[in-house]
Amino acid sequence: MNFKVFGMENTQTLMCNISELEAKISAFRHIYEVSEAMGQSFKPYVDKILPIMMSHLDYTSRAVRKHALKTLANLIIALGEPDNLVLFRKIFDSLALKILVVNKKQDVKELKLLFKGLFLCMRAVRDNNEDKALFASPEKMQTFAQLMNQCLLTT
Amino acid sequence: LRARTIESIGILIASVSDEKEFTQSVKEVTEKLFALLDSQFDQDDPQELAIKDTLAKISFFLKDDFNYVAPKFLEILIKDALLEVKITHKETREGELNNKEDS
Repeated sequence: MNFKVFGMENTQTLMCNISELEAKISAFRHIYEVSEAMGQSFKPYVDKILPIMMSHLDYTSRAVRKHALKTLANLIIALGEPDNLVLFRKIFDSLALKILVVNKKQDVKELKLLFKGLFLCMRAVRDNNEDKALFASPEKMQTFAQLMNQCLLTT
Repeated sequence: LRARTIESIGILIASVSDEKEFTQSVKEVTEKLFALLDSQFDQDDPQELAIKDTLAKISFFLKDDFNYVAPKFLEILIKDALLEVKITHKETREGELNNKEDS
């Protein structure tokens, strides 16, 4: 598909292979659906899928980012205790950083997406773990409270 | 028409996801879909997406039992997920766009 660049309609053209983009978005949606359906049986595939999801949290397509975030919660369920707490804390650190950046840009839509992803991960721990200590220390919990405060005050 | 037929199979399977008596038939469908997926499709052939959609629906039906085909399916999905979608840029020569629009 070709796009005209606004203001440069007669001089510049952008080209994008839409079929490839559609295949990519569908792949993320399917991975999410399979991980959701398989629950804890998805554990053997966590190591392969996790780096792909983490590396696409900043991807250009919102649909890809959305499915990657939703899949993270399923990976927490699949991994089970106690490893999933380590995974949750890793995801939290990464998302907290992204939330700070997005909050600075005042991008409310993206902020909502990230918070929803974080919420799904928290819920996955709450509903599936005996040990529900999401944060390693009170200080870490304080970081989360500060993060929420900051977002509520600025947006 | 084939893509629509495959999609319909997926919808039918989703609609009986609580009825375990269909497990054997669903497994047979899964085998057939995987055999189809091995064939070469044109880039815009809707059958490929329909098969993958249906396999994802089958995973909801089979749940744990999907494990026997999950590695193969995930391998295909990972390959698609890692596709690099390139946005390329080119200088348009004067009149080129207009000519295309006229034709």
